[in-house]
Amino acid sequence: MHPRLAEEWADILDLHPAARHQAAPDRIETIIELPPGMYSMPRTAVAVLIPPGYRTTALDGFLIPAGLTLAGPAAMPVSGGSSLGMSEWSLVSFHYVDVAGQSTWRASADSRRGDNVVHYLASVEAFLAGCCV
Amino acid sequence: MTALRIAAPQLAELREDLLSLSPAEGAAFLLAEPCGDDFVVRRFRVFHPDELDDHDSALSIREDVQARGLAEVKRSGHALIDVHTHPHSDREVHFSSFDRTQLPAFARYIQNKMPGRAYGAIVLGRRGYKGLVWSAGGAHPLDLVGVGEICAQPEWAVDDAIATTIEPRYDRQVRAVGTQGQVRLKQLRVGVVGLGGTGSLIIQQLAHLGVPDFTLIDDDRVDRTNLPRLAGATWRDAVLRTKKGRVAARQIRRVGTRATVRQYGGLRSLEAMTALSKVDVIVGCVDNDGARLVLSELAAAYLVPYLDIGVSIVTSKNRPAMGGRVSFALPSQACLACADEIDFAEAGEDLESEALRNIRVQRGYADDRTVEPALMPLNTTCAGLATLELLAFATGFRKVRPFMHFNALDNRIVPIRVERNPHCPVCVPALGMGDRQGIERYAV
Repeated sequence: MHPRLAEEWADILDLHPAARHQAAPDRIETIIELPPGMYSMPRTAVAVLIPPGYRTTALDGFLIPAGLTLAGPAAMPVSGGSSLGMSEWSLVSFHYVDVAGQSTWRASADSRRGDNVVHYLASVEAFLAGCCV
Repeated sequence: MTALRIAAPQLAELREDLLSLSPAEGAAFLLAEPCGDDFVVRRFRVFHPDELDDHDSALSIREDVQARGLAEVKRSGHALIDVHTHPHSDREVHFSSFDRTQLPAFARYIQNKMPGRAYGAIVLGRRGYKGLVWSAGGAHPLDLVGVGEICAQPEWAVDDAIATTIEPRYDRQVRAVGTQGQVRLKQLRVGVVGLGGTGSLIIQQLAHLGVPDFTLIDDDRVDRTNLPRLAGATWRDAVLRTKKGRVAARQIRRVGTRATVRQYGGLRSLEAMTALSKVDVIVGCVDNDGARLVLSELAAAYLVPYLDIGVSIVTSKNRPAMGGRVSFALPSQACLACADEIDFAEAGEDLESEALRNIRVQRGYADDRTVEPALMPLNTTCAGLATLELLAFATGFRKVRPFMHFNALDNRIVPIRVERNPHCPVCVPALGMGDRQGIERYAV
């Protein structure tokens, strides 16, 4: 496991008991509850890719199972995950950036002081709850 | 010989804290991490005189204090190096008969309590030391190496005999940096990452200075657009697309030194990163922040001083700029990230997988990198400034000025004062973590 991820693992499991670490690509998979009626499923698996420079470099994009769709006619902002070695998944564009496109990710030596996986998963949940807007 | 690398400021603090107790003996636990066959010190704890027992002139750590100390060692996962002083010893230091009885027994105790964990012991005198490390094969010598502002093997560890082997050709240099300075250059192992516009000039200067050991990292090949600034490259190299590493090796050998040259491809291979963890200083001549992030982390984890050079030319009519910077990250001092010299977002893009980058390009979130302007005289000035800092580090002819900017438009060199950021996400978690830092995750 990535050394920075290992530091955070207890905190991640506290909030996401279903979380598990997977390799190739290095990622965390967990289950997130979705708002009723908004998606084709009541809950979804989510995979967060861990870049080699994490936590210094930001978590940038997550994956959902290819079958997950919005209940309405709008399409999810996704790309196929097969080139990442995850053919059953779709990559969702979701970045810590401001309106000018500048990164808002704030890393710190202490995971609890700066951005981390727990914060990122909370943002993913909020993003999915807001219909990916 | 197994080496124990410790940041020079930490070594100075440790010695001062322990020897200030003289004439009483002092004791400390060093928490260290393996790096290959060697060790790097992560942190240390000096025991207060109240925490020590001194029966019949034999020093020991109070049992309850020792138990707490060992529990901390166990939790941290570090190796333990047990240090104590013999303040009456000067250059010649030996373990006492009490030490020779107790330490092997304590080494067996540690190996039983914490299997697989290394144990070492050092006794410090006023100007000398003796070190031993125990492994499954028994005890063997442990060499103490302070890494810092001057490439300071402790003064007492420099072998005077080697001074007589300095060749006459270095006469003028010896007059500038002294015999000890030239001796240190003669022992220096340098890793140069990036052998383009600045890297090719750096290796040329280091070869002339008499540096005998090079680890060269670059997988790029010469093309015609490199010829105006790649020192040593010929038209033939451009036609044959010779590897830049090969051109650099040829340059070093042309100077006539019997240097050892090891060539690797790109930085992001396990072999290249392992080789860099073993050099005395890394010189980064790279053109991207991803590589700077990897090198900063590696340098902190293995306590290797890291000298980085950057040049930049901005041709915009509104705000033209031309200049460069030299940044020298010394162990336990400010790193490039502390100095805000690394753009983490750019580093993230540099380090992402090709597949992820392709997806981002398709979706319009990423562009192909633009080709930057370059000029050999600018590279030469910045490489010269950097080599002077490396010379200061290696020979101690003056103090290192770790951070400076060069403005070529008004011809000014501006020293920059940088403090270590206690929350730096790069150097703080990595410092002295050795192999446990997991640098291999950057390998592709």
